Amino acid sequence: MAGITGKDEVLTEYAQRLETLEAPKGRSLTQDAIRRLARNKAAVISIAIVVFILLAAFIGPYFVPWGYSEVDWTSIRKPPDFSKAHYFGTDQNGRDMLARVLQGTQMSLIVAGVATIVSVVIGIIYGAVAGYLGGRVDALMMRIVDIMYALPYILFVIILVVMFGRHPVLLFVGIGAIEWLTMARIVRGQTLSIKEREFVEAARAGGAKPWTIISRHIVPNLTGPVVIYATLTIPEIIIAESFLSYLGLGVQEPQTSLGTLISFGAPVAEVLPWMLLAPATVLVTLLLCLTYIGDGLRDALDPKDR
Amino acid sequence: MLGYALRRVLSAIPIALIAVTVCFFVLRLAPGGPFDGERALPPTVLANLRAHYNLDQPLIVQYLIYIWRLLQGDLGPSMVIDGFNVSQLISIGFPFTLTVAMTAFVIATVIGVIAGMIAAVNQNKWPDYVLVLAVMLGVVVPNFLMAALLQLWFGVYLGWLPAGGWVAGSIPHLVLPVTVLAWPHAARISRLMRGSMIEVLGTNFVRTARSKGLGQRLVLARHAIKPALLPVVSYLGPGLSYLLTGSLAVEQIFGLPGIGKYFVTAALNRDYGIVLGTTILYMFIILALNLIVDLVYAWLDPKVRYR
Amino acid sequence: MPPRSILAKSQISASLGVKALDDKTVEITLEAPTPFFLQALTHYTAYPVPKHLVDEYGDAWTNMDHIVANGPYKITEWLPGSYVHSVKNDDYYDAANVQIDEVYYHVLEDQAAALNRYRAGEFDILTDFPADQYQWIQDNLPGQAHVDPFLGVYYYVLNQEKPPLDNPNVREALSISIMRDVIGPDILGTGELPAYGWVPEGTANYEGAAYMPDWAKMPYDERVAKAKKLMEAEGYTPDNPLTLQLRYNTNDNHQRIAVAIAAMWEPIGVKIELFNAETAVHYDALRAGDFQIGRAGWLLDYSDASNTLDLLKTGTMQGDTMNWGNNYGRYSNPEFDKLLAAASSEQDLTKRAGELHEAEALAMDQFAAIPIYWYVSKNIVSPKVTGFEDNAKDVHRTRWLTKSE
Repeated sequence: MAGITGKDEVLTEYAQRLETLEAPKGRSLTQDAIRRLARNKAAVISIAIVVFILLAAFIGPYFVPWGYSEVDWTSIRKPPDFSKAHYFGTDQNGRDMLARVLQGTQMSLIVAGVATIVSVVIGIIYGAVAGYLGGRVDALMMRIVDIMYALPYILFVIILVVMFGRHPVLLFVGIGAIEWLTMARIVRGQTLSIKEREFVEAARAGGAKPWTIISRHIVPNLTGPVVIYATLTIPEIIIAESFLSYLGLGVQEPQTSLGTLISFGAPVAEVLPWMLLAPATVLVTLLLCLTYIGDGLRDALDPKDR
Repeated sequence: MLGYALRRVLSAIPIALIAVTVCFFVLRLAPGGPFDGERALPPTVLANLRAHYNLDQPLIVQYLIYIWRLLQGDLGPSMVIDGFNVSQLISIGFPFTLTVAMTAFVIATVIGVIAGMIAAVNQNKWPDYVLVLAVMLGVVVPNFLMAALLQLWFGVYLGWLPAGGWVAGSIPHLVLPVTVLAWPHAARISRLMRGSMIEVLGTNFVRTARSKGLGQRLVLARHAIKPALLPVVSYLGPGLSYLLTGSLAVEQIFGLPGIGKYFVTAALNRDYGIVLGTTILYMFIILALNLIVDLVYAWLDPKVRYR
Repeated sequence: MPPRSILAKSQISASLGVKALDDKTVEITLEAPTPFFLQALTHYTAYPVPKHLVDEYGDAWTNMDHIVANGPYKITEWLPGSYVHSVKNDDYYDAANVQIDEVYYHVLEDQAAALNRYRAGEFDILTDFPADQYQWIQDNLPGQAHVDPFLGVYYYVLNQEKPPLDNPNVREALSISIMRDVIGPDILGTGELPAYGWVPEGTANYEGAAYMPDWAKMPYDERVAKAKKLMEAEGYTPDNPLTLQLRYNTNDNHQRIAVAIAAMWEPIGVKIELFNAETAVHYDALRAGDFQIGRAGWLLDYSDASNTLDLLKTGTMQGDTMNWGNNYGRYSNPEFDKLLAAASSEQDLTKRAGELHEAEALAMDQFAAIPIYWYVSKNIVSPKVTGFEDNAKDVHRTRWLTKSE
């Protein structure tokens, strides 16, 4: 899955830029970028839409009349019906599609978010250790990363899900545990370049522990890369999750996810189109917006484009 | 260069071995076995079957037997598909998967590079917007949905193309599966190409070339393409690996007898041999491809030294 | 490494009571008169195996290069997981009347994709179709969908080895609060008939009225009220529900039924955790008794009531472990076992049917399992194909079919 959105290239470049600057300027680079991002209309609109989707997914369920697992025995597989407050119709179990789409969006976002956090944490630890220790250990650790880039991940995810069952937590961990490679590379580069600076030398001479140095001086510089990383990783994970759902390896009922909803909607596109339209629209919009935000960030960090 | 290639291959072996080992034990520890079906087998039959496949031995012994056979090039039997061994199944399924994936790979790469160039040259004009949007559809629509919709539209409503299946040498049968596979790949390539082309076009030496009065095409052909291709090339390895594994859904929907289908059903049926064999094959191919990509990359970018 | 065998060959043949009298006659000695025996011989496990091939090739006798056929068709090509190609067997005794020259049997995981390809004219017969499309097929492809009763029961097993499902009152509450009438027509959409008994209607050697419990005739809200009372007596209410896990194997239809039934159980004070897993894991758990409620289904191997009733028979001791076979819920009732044993040696068919009916009523009155619906066979047959007759076993031999272009 690595490289689906080309995030490796974007981030490596950005990290290199950060490395060549002094630490305080690194922050102003990020501030500059935010200013430029604010001038990019597509990105700003996308951010607004994503925020709206986030709010709808997490707060919306409190305002819709039906619960996501509530069965309305009088409307089974019915098209949108405003008199019964089924604004998106119902599924074959008589459950409200609007409530299910909101819950599914929430689940997809949680899976993607947690998987991203897992991969960021693993990446930071791995990259920082490699960069800090340097030398042979570093060479070996990075060689492992290089090779792991080449493994057929989706196969491993399938094996993991088959092994541990369909629990959402396992989806988070399973996907997150193999998405950390890019992050590890960047952190390692940062660590390598910062390690040699005087203030780090001074801190080390003063008896600071390696972990303190990493968390005080290196991690703060990673805000920028982590934001881009998350923007680009979330779509990948949402797509991967939807693929697993198609194979029947998605989350357990009555919980659902966008991928699960779409994989149930796709076969009935002709007869119950509302079951496909709502989740597919949300998924496509969400992914398009995240891509535009990613593009915007990329452009914002690359002043040459102007 | 040969030494570099050799070192890369050798350093990949331990990782591959670790991956195989992890897969082996994870699979065996997963609940359920290859003989758990809807109906209970009589205990004596089950015992015989388990003995036949050495499943009654301690796990570590089974592992050693597997590795020993693997070193001799034997991927073992299939425990669910009676009368076939894993190598036979791979030799049946792999050509299909490879044909579809490679066709998609070549077409998508060519289209992606061209589209990316057009978009870059017309940056922020209408061809750019149209191309970006057209291409993005391939990334944001899950491929199983794309496959189902294209099948319905072109196979059923319009009847222009076969809705599925495979006839040796028939190009129409390839069109839909290849389209579904190629679209997202072309999308990513074109995005990479667009970005790097914009950057290259902004560099001094291209500006110099232009100021010398060289035409747009000549500038592109002589100076811009080669450096702009670098990120594309470095993506080709992971890209092909994505195509190969991405064919799982495509094979199921279009009913292609490919290896991805075997993998999924085998993982669900606990047909250990097929799961491991397919994983090993994929790893092998992807590692080899990455090596080739690295060598091509080095050829394109003289700055890279073989470490 | 040579394959090892647990059971020696001599052990098997001595206990079987099967003898070849001459080249074309076989003598089978039964332990007791078995009215369904000839029926049972039509099951594929009783098909002849060419001994000379097995002797010559061992396990490889099923290879395409070695296999021989005595039926109207012979296999020429097999791509596992994809298709089987067979052509007419000219050596077949009735070859002159076999109309279709070659058949491709395709294997498809994705039913919606299969239907699409049927509509594109790529297939002539589908042996299953997505239930959601049934109405659409009836409207747009009139007469092509064949939905017919099929000898089989879809049911939930209840693990009776452990509390709380060892308690017949809890089992009763669960069973009577299921609104079976909505499952076939609404949840699935193909109109499967509700099942209240254990033996499908139309099963051979089973004269007499089908089992129909009194509660089935009660209005649904009264049933729920009764179930609520039963659960309350055990100390469970919707505010203090009994939590049970319901396992099913991954499949759209199983999922829908599980979701619907979980919703029906909510008001009586039962909270259901759904758990789906692939077939191998699901049945592994059922066999190991590692479940509370599990989905199962039984399609009759041969048309006889004993075929389903055996599913509720106490297991047999083998060594020091009890082999429960397909009785996943481990229902055990000596009286039920006695009735089945009596029926198995009963020569008078009417009397035998009576004993089996009695056994069925006994087990169902104790809610040994929860039958949900009777299976239907679902086929789609192209108008080009003639000779396709619906039957309760859903067997359609190509030798009886013809296809017009």
